[in-house]
Parts: sequence; C-alpha cells; structure tokens
Amino acid sequence: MINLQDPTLSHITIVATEPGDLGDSRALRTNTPGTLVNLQRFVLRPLGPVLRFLNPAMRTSAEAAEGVIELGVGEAHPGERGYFNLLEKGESSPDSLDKNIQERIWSKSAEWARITKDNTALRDI
Amino acid sequence: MEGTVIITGANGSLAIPAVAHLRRRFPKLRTILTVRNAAESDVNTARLRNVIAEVPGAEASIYELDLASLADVHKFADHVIAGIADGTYPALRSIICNAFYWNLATAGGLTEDGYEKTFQINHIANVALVMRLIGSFQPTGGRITFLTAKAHWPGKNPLQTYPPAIPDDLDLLVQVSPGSDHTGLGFQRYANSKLASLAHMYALNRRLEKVPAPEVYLLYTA
Repeated sequence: MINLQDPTLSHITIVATEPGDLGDSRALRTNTPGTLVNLQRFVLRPLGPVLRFLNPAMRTSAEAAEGVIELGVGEAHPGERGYFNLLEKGESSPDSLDKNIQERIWSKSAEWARITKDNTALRDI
Repeated sequence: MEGTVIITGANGSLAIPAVAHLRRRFPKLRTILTVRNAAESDVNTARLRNVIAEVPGAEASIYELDLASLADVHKFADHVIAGIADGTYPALRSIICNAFYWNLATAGGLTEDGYEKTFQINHIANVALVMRLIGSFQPTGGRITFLTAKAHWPGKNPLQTYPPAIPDDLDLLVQVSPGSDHTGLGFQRYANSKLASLAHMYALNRRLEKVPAPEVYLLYTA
C-alpha cells in the first residue's frame, strides 16, 4: 500500500502581505531608539492624515487589520498565492524571487527549525 | 466559514483590531491567539481579552507562546495537533504569522536555541509552526499568511542603513553580525528575516502546488 501524501496540501495557499506603513504601530516604540519613539508621537500620529497624501501606503493599524483578516481567512483572493500589498497583488524583490536563493533558504530553514520527514505532512522537505 | 484560525503575536497593535474584525465578520471561526506573556498584568494581553469580551464571536483561547524558544513552538504544535484529534479544536482554516520582533536600540543577542533573536522570531519559528501544522488543515484546504514589509527590498525603506541580503554562508543569518550601529544592524536583521521568509514562502508554494489533487488519487483506487 503506497503511503500517499495528504492531498489537502494542494489546497493550502501561502501568502505574504504588506499591511502598509502603520504610523500607530507599537513596533515603532518597542526596542527602538528615542528618535523613533518621538517621531511616532510628534509626527506620524498627529500628522497621519496629511502624510497619507504623500504616501498612500500610510494607514492606521485598524485599517490594515480588516484587509489582513479578509486575506488571512481566505475570503479575499481565495486560491491565490504569493505577495500582496494589503489586498492588492504585488511583486516582491528580485532576491526574493531568485529560485536559487529560495531553495537554499528552504533547505536550511528546515534544519534550523528542526523539521524532518517525521514531523511534517509535506513529503518534499 | 468554519475552522480554527491561529494568530501569533495576537496582542499586537495590528492583531487586536484584526481579532475584533474576525469575530464580527466570521463569528463561526474558532481562534487560538498566541502571546508571549499571557499574565493578567500584561497590558497588551489585557487589551486582547477586552476585545474578546466586547465583541461576540466563537470561542477564543489565549495561548502563551514564546517564539524565541523552538521547544515552545514545537510544544504548541503538539498541543494543536492533539486538540484537533480529540475534537477540542476544529481543523485549521488559517494561520496568520503576525508576531514580530526587532531590536533597533541595543546590542543583538541569541535565543536559547542559539540563533539570532530577530531571525528566529520572524522566520525560523514561523517555519517550525507552519511545517508542523501544515497537515492539520480542513479537507477543503486553507491559508497561511505572513506579514511582510518593503524593508525586504534594498533601498525601499528610509530606516535602512545596510541593505538586506542572503549571504552565501547562510549561517551568518543566525549569528549576531558584529558592529555597534544597533539601529542599522538591527534593521538589517529585521529586513533579512523578512527576505528569508518570502524566499521560503515561494519554495513552499511551489511544493504545495505539486501535491496531486484528490481527484488523482481516485484513479489509483479503481
């Protein structure tokens, strides 16, 4: 009896999304130098609406959150894979698209993460 | 829409409104929300608890998970797999790898697993989580989402001093690069972790697409 791979796997889609420049992100004041904390407090947050004219990717976390969920649960772009700017299909850098780099990172990552044939359902690891 | 959704870094500033939206829009989706510190005293986790209490939705569990410990990640995966097997959780609908770490303020360091902290939390831990749980999805499939950033692309983020790149010697990615420019180097480590995460995504998608669809197996049983 051949041990067949779980066919469900072909219906799992992996996506990466850029939520945008989140001026109110807690990341900007966690493990950051004082200049960045002040930038957020005195510029990014109060001037948010103005900055959006210059940078359309500037948005609040709450605005990005909806898109992340719609994409994340597969409601938006069902069946699609790859790179998104929030909900818009996009392109990532040349290095990220380099198949050689992808395969090297793939193999090494399994090693780093202690993933083996025995603890994942995917056969080709 | 049914199934379980896992969200890491669930008490973050993006995740909290995301959890609220999920509960409102998809009230049947069970959630497992991981946070580094689930104590009552953690103000961010308290905010998450408030959202769960204020927005009606399906059952939500808060699970303490430190991505800086691979043992923790594997233990969490064991927990989810067992929980699906015994009916505590429905099979997975999605995993949202939202948890994030960077350090632009002080000298870099290694996790207990011996890897540079930014790279482990933003990439290695996600690989462990995703690859352990990839067999636990609904029969109709599902989605895995990584949060990414322009920072992975050299020159696209004004905070960049040193551009991200995947070196020939991959071991360099998990070491603390030497130097005293904590902000520049910290940002580069963050950018590298996002770049590695993307490269991994494409490789994983390629393999998932190659798994034969259920229709093919019917031929073998005839």
